[in-house]
Amino acid sequence: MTADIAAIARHRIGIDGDGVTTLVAFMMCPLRCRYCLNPQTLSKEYPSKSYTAKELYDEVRTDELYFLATGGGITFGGGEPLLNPEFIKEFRAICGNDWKINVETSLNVPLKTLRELSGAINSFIVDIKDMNPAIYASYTGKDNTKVLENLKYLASAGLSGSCVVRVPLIPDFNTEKDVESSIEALEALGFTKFDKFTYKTKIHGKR
Amino acid sequence: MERGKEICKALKEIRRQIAKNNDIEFVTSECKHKGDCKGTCPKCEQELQYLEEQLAARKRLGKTTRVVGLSIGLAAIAPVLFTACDPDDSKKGPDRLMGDIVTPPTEQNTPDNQNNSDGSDDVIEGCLVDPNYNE
Repeated sequence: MTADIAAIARHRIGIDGDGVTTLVAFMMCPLRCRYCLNPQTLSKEYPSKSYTAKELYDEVRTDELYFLATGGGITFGGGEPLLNPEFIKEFRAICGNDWKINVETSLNVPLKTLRELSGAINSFIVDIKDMNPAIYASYTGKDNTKVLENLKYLASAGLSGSCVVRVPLIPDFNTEKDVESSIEALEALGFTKFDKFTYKTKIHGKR
Repeated sequence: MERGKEICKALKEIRRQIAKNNDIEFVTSECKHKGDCKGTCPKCEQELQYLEEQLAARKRLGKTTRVVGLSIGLAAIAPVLFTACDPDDSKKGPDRLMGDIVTPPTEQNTPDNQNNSDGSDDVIEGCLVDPNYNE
């Protein structure tokens, strides 16, 4: 089994999870977010590289000492990493349990995928965009039914403590009030760790 | 590329602590390199490889090694570094964002939160994606 990788970024200290991490960015995403941070992952023209899980392990294991000493590991991002569940499970089997595996995900994937994969993941960084279905659809072009279903699953499975939920203020799409509403809805589900931030784009100028 | 220098210092300190915890002689020197730094270089990689070899040698001799669970705290090794997931931390680094893959900066895709000087939450700059875009 192979996966198309857009980029591998080493030594991301304190950015994508605890300790020293290596970000592995997969190609492709089901969403079409208006202010996508990595739009190159959406293009079939982008010169990505195909890896087996073993090939990826061989490449990233150069930083194993850093991972082990700091409680870090691999953060799968993209793109949408949960489009590659078998690859991630195979990678976990190869790297063992001493490395932390984090995923930066929209959770807009089938519940079955999350159920099968959650045991291989140490922490989830979930970008929910906005909990309001209309705002979500407007910003991403997709509906958030699966996201809500998956959030409920993570909470019911006792995994909310392993999640950091990103709740962005998205210019022209939501408001501070919407962000607070999203956080309230997430708290009601049992989530406690949030990352509030603001998207900035060229068209909105400098702050 | 100040952040690259910070990463270099942090990684060097991790190497130093691994060596200390395993009684490995470890001689390093302050990097004198001027200019861009990606956080590591051939000299840093050599030091890492040296540690791996020393640890492997100790294992072959049946000695116990200590790396897993050292729990080297990032706050201790690099006070200037930060935890991105802390929403109240206004010192987030300007040149790397959560999930942002490292690509050459362009006019269209340049992480730029330098102006986030009001101590508010992190700011991410992305590219506009055509909502009708299909790969």
